[in-house]
Amino acid sequence: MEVSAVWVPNDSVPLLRMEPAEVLGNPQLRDAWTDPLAGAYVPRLMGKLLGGSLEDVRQGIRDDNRSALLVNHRHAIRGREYVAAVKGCGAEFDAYENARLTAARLREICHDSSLIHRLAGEDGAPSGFITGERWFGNTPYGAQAPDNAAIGLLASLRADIDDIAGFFICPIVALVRLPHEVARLATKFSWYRRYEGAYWQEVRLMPSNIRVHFHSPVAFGVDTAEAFRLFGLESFEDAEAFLGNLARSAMAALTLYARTLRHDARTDTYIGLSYEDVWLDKDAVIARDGTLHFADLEGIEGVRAPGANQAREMIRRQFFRNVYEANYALEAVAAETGRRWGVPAGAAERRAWIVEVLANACRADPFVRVEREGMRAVVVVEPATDPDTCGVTLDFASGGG
Amino acid sequence: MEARRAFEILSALVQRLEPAAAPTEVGELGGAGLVRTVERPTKEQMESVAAQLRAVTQRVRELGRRLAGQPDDNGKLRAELREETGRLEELSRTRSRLDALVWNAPSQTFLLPTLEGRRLLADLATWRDRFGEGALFDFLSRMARLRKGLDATVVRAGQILPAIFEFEPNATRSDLRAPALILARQGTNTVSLAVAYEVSLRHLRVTGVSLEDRLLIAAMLSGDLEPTEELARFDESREALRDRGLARDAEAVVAASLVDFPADRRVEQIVRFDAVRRMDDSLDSVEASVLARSPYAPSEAYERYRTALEHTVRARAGTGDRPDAAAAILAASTGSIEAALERFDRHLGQVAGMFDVSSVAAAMLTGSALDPAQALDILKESVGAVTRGNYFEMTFEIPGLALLLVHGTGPEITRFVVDSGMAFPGVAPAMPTGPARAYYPIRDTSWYLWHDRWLYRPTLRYVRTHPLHVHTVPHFG
Repeated sequence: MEVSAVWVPNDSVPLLRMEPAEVLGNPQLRDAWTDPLAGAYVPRLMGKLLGGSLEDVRQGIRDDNRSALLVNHRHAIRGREYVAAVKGCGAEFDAYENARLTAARLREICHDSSLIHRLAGEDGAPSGFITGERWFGNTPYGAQAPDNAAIGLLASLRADIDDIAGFFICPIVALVRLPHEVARLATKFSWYRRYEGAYWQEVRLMPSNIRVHFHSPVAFGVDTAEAFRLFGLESFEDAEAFLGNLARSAMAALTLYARTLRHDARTDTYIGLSYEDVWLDKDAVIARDGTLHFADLEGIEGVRAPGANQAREMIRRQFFRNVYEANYALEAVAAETGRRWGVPAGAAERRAWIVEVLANACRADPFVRVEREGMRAVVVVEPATDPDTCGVTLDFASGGG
Repeated sequence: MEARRAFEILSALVQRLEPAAAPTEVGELGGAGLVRTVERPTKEQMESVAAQLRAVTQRVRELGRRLAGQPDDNGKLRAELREETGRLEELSRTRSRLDALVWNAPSQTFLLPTLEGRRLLADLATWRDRFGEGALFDFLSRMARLRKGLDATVVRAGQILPAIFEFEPNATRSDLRAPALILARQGTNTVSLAVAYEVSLRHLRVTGVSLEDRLLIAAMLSGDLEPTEELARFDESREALRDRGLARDAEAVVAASLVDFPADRRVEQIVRFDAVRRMDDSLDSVEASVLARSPYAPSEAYERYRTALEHTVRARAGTGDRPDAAAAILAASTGSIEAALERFDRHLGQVAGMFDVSSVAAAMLTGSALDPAQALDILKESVGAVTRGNYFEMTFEIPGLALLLVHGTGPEITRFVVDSGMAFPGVAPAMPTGPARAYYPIRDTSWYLWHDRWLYRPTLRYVRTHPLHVHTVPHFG
C-alpha cells in the first residue's frame, strides 16, 4: 500500500446491519461491496425499537453529523487505501439545537405514544437517529434522499473509479434503501415538517475524514498541526511533497468544469460538471499524501452553457468561487511548514514557495498549466473540448503593482 | 568565515545576484551544507536534460487528455502516463535547480542556496546584530543549541506528563501539560521533578489549595530537589498575607509568586502589595502583586499602570481580552512606559489571532530583554518545538504552551546558549557547575502566574466546556 488511509479517532457509533430494501451498486467497485460490508446500517437504538435481533451490530466511528466510518472495511484503488463510510446512518445532533440527539430529546419529537414509553429506558449514550424531519430541500434528517444519492452515484459512475480527469472523489460503492420498517419508524419522529419519500443511505470510500475547513473533529485549515501529526509529515521534504499533491488536486477541483467540458452537438451547447450548493471547505477531505478528494458528490451536476462565452464564464466562476478555500489550505501547509522547519518564513516566501510547487505540480496536468512572471502567476486553462475557444487565463497571484 | 559575510553571500544568492564569494568562502559554505556548487559542465549537462522538459510535458499532457477521453480502455495508457510523469517530475526538479543557480565569478562556479542556507539567512536576519562580530560556525552552533535546548525541554515535559498524571485523579492531561512544561524548564532529572511535584501537590492539598491553583503552584515550587525550602517559604508567605487580610481572592498563587524572594524582601513585597491595593481596590490581587514586584515605588508603579491601562483599553483585542492585566505587566516592565507601550503595539499586531488574550501575550513579550523581532523569533521557535514534539492535544493549545518557553529559558537551554559568556539577554544566567545546592534554581514564578491566570486557564476552561471540539453548527452537513 503506497498511501494508507487515515482517520481521526472519534466516538464509537453502534450500527445494526440489516437487509436493505434495495441496493444500487457501482459496477467499478463491485469488489469493495463484500459480504461483510454489504447491508443497510441503522442506529442501534432504532434496531432495538424495532424489536428484531441485535446480533449484527458494527462499531462505526463518528465522522460527520449523519455519517460514520467502518474502518475495518478497506479497499485499495491504485495504491491508495480507502475506508468504507456510511452517509445517512443517523444524525448525532438535534436538528434545532447544538446538543446530542438523546433518547430524552427523541421522546419530545415522537408522535407515537407507545414509542415514547419504550424510549423512557434508553437514556444512555446517544447513538444517532434517523428521523422523518424534512431537511434541506427534501431530505430525511439523519438519512439520505434518493435523488441526492442518485446524483452522487452518477458522479461516481462517471469517474475512472476515484478520478474524474484528475479530480479525485470519494466514490460511492452502493446506494442502499433502508428497510421499510426503519422508514416507517423514522416517520414517527419529526420537529416541524414531515419528510415524504424513501429513505436511502450511501456507502462510499474515503481516504481520510479530515475535511478542509469544517465539519470534522480535525479540520485541516484550523488544526493543521494536528493534521500534520496524523499524516506523519516529519520533514520539509515530506511537507513539500504533500503540498504538491494538495496543489495539483486542488487545481483539478477548481477547474472541474473545464476538464469535463463536452460539446453537445444536438443542442449546440456545452456541458461540464459544476458544484451546486457544495464547497471545498466542508465537502472535501484530504488524503494522507495531500490529495484532495471531493466527498459530497450529491452537489456535483452537469451544467449547460449555451456558447463558448458562457462556458468560459462558467470556468472563471468555478475557479474564483472556490479558489480562496483551496488557497487557504495551501497557505496552512506553508505556514505549518514554516513553524516546524523555519522555511518558508513570512508571507512573501510562503507565496513564492506555493506558486513554485503549484507550477511544478501542474506540469503533468493536461488541462491547466501555471505560468509565472515575477510575482505574478496565472493559470492557463485548456478545457477538454474546444480549448482554443473555451480556454481562459486566470489570476492565481496578481503580483505587486 | 564571519557570520556577517555569510549573510551577505546568502542574501545575494536568494536575490539571484552574483555574490562575489571567494573560493575559500564557497568551500566553507558548501562544507556546512549551506550552498550547493555546480560546475559549468554539470550545468550544461543539466540544461541539456532540462531541455527535454517541454517535449515530456507535452507528451504527459497529451496522454492525460487521451486518458480522460477514454477511461474504460486505459491499462497501457495509464502505465505509459505513470512512467512519463515520473520523468517529468525529475526534469521539473532539474529545471527548478537550474533556475535558482547564480554565477559566482571568483570561484568560476554556479551556486545554489540549500534549505539550510535559507534557514540560516532568516536566523542571521534576526540575530546578527545581537551576535555582533563572530565566526559563522559559532553562530550556527549557538542557534542549533538553542533549538536543541527547546526541543529537549519539550521532550522532557513529554516524559514528565505521564508520570505526574497519576497524582491528581481529577486532573486531565490538558490540565497538566503546562505544569509539566514548567517542571521541564526547572530541572533535568525527570524522575526527581515528578517526585518533587508529588510532594508539593500533597502539601498543597493538605493545606486546602484549590485544584487549579495547586496544579500550577506545585510546578512553580518544584525542581530537581525536594521542595522543602520552597514549601516552607510558600507557607510563610501565605500566612503573612492571611495575617494582613490581603489577596483573599488569590492568596495561594500570590504567595507562590513570592517564594523567589529572600525572607526580608518577601515582607517588603507584602507591604508594597498592601500599598498598591490601598490605591485602587478594583485591582485584582494578581495585578496588585505584579505592580508590587515592579522596580518602582508603589505610587509610581500605579501611575504607570493608569497610563498603560488607558492605552491597552483602546487597543483591546476582543471581549475576552484583559487590558487591565496587560497594563499591570507593562507598568512593571523596565524603562519608560511610553517605550513599553510602543513596543506593546508592535507585539500586539504580531500575536493578534494567535492568542485569545492577545494583550496579555503582547505585554509579556514586551517585558523581554530581547528586541521585538528576536522575542517573536523565540516564540516562533518555541511554537515549532511544541509542534514538532507533538506536545499538544488541540492546535489552539500550542501558542500558550510555547509562550511558557519564551521568558528566560530552562537550565538546559541556558547551558546551550550562554556558554563562553555570549550575551543573549532575556536568557537566564548560566548555572555554575558544582554541588547541586550551589546555585539557586531558575524560577520565573511571576511569569508562570501571569501565563496561567490570564492566558492558559481561560484556554483550559474552553477545552473543558467544549469537549466535542466542533467548529461549526454540526447539523448543516
